[in-house]
Amino acid sequence: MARYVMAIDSARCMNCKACVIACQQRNEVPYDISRNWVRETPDPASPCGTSFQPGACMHCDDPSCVRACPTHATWKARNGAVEIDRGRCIGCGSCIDACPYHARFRHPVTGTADKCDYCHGSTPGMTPACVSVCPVHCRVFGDADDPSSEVTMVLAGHKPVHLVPQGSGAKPTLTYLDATVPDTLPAGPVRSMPIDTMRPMAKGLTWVGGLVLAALTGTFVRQLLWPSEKEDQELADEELVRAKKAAEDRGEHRTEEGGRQA
Amino acid sequence: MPEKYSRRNFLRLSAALVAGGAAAADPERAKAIGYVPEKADEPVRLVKGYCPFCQVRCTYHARMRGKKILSIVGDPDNYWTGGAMCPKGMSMLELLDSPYRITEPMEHLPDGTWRRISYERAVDMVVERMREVKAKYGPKGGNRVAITMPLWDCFESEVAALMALRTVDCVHAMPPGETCVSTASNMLGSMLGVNSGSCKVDELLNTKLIVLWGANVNDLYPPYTRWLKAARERGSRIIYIDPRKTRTSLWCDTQLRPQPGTDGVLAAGCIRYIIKKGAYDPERVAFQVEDPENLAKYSEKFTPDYVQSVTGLALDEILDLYEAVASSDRTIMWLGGALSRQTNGITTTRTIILIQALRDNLIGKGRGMLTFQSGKPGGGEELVDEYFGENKTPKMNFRRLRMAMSKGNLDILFLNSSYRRNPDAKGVRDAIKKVPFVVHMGFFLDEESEVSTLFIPATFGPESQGCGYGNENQVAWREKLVEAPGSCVPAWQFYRDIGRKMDPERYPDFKDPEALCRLMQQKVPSWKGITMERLRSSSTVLWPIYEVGGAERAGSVFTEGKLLTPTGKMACADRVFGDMSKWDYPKGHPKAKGSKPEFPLILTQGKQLWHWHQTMTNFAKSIAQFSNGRFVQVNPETAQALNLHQKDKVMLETMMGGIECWVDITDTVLPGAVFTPANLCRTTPLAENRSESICNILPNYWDRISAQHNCVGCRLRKL
Repeated sequence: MARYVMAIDSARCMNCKACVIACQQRNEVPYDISRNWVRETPDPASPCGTSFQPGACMHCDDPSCVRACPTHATWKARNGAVEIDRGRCIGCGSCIDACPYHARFRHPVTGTADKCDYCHGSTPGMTPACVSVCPVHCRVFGDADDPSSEVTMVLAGHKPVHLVPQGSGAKPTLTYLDATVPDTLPAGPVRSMPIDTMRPMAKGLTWVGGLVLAALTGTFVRQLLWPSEKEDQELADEELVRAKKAAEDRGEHRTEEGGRQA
Repeated sequence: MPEKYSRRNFLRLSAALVAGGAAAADPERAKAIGYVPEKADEPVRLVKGYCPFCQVRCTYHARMRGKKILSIVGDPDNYWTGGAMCPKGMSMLELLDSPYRITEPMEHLPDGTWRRISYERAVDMVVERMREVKAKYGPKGGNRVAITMPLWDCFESEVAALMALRTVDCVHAMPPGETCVSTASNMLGSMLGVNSGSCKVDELLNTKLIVLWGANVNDLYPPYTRWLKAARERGSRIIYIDPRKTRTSLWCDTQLRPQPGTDGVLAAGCIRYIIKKGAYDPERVAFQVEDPENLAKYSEKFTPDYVQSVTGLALDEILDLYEAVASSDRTIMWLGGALSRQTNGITTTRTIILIQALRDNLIGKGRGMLTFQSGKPGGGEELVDEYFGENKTPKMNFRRLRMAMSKGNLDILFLNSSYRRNPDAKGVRDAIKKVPFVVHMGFFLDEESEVSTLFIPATFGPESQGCGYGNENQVAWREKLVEAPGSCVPAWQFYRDIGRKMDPERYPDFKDPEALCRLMQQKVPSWKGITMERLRSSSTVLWPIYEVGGAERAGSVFTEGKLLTPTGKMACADRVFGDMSKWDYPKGHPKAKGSKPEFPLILTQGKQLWHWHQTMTNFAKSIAQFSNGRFVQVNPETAQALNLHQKDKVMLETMMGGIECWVDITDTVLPGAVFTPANLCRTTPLAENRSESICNILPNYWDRISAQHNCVGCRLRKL
């Protein structure tokens, strides 16, 4: 199984924003929001006075967004990507608040959480839009477990730098090469109380719902194999017997055949 | 549990719950959030195309399903771009479906309102006017008609338009580069015999030294950054000369920031340094320069101290540049557009070319000159002449056109490009208003449509097939991918319909660009090898190819080992353009003779990376998300002296008038200089891209070639 990662040489970035617009178009993200970004930091050491830092979802190991999701609609896939199942996302925004990189947003059309998925959802098998459009090839994407992949070789030849917001304990897999400005981020926002409270409640409800479902399924199977109730015909027969008996009790002595004759 | 409970009831209940849930759900919404997978009736296919904006001419693959373009992906097989694209090119996807786009022909009524008319009526109106001109003035009527280029379409549209003009004996097509690179183009033409770059951009890989003289490659041609990257990786040193810190600063080894308008002094000092050091081969210089003895004479006064005093550069910076140039035997110098936009640009450009001749860095591998908008495949006018006979009438330049319009001597103007690219744009607008019949082929209700009599809705990029051409003289082919909305027509169709009605005997009958392109291949020798099959199967094809199957020509244009001027040489002192010893500040510069002390700051203006000129991209939300309106960049020292703070509102004023801006305090500009972008327009509905044109406040200073306006004096008045 491949383990996909992205490496970024931010020193090469010139902030042309081609990666941003390419991503928006490929993934149908409205132009005023974006799955990726180029952070601009005033920097006297930079030849143009500003340092540029391209970024996107860091596809963390042990991601806080995954832990925050009450419906397990997002998870760390075996291929290295943090994925979202729109079908299971209830749009509660818990993961959006939990991401210290602000890499997630609520998609205004779908109402569900959205973020970089390495373009897997829109164009499976294709190089991510941000990678292929870059004029200076500052983003490199590939399988970190393939020793011949470009990303493996690039990572081997540079000092890895990971951007970790203060106090977040995030374990990003997006790697900057050698150096990047800024090299740390301020602490992420504190999640809202309702969301924090909702999560254990939702988990409890999930358990209760699961047990009820299991009970119903068990009943169904049992009814299918070992019916505890009598079938319609048996019930009809019993009804007939009861009716006969009642008639007898009323003193009517008529055979079935005799009855027809009458 | 009910008495009647049974398996059947249990199953019924389950089925009802499932069905009810499905019925209650909104299927559209379910689809939108991914419950129902998209029905892919047709597979996604990739179709080739090219960006219609700058001269890099990036090719792309459109991902199409049915008749809809899903997204575009840069073409990785394009040798010149490597698959890169930039935001302005990608905005075409949005512009195709822009809600602001006008899709029906309209007539502008005297009360200022518009009346919708049919396309056929629009063509008839143009034809009637052209017939009137022809009837009234005969063959001289050609001087009463003109067209401004470029057309937003394809090479075939340009040819079709030129032929339509010839039906009234008109040849006056204004080239788009007249206010951009005309100085460089003319000087390269007179000194090297080629009015564009002398080699392809990939020649950078063979250099030891690259001098980007005012050439802000990364902002203007973002995909070309890869060539700077590749050259650096192969060991070339890149020296970038620009008063502003820009994106190109990131990709050079050294940047020199001379005072705006003083590059000519820096260049002349370099000639003096090389001569004093004896770092030249007299025989090779004599081979290329008619009057080599003048080089020493004219450069004598440009001592390092003098250069330092004028440019404001440190002595060691100056000497480092001079030594690098004097010791490199494989240097390419890239002329920036800004050099062409100052009235002393002729002297500056000539001096830089002379440095290359002195060091013998023009002819051979890893040597030469580059410019922006370096080339354009020829042959179009040859085809026009094929049908309409050889043209002997001299073409008007924009200066003469403006005079003709002002005096009421022009009857029909086909206004295709922005008039706001010209300095004193208000004056140009007033001149256009004196033309009784102005046909604007465009997309939006903008400044150009305001001064037009007829609006013809044009097609855009993938809505028509045809050839595009780029900076390396490369030709790219595009198929028609999508239907144009409403009554939008490609320019080739509009001009063909006019031409066929005007002169059906001479105007060729072609049904589409492919047919016209095939005529090019049949009748124009330099296009013979650029066959449809080759165009369709290749990302790009380099013009010219004289034989079917012929090889593309790369490298330097000086294949015979000498310059392409009639004598094979260039002049140091030119009868018309003078010599470097006459160098002076650009006209209007605060230090120039006769300048007004009330305008002490130097005004520079130019492109922003994600914008293309003054109309199209200003109407794109995808671009507006990166824009921040009309700003003026001011150095912290200047801001302090003027008591300005970040985001202050100011009036940027020249002797021509003022524009409201917000102040961006940054050391990307030098003290005493300011910078403001060139792209914004007044008529866009998107506030981020909206402002009066900068050319409204730029004076119309003419040098011996064209209108120049950079480095004029200005001031900031706090609001």
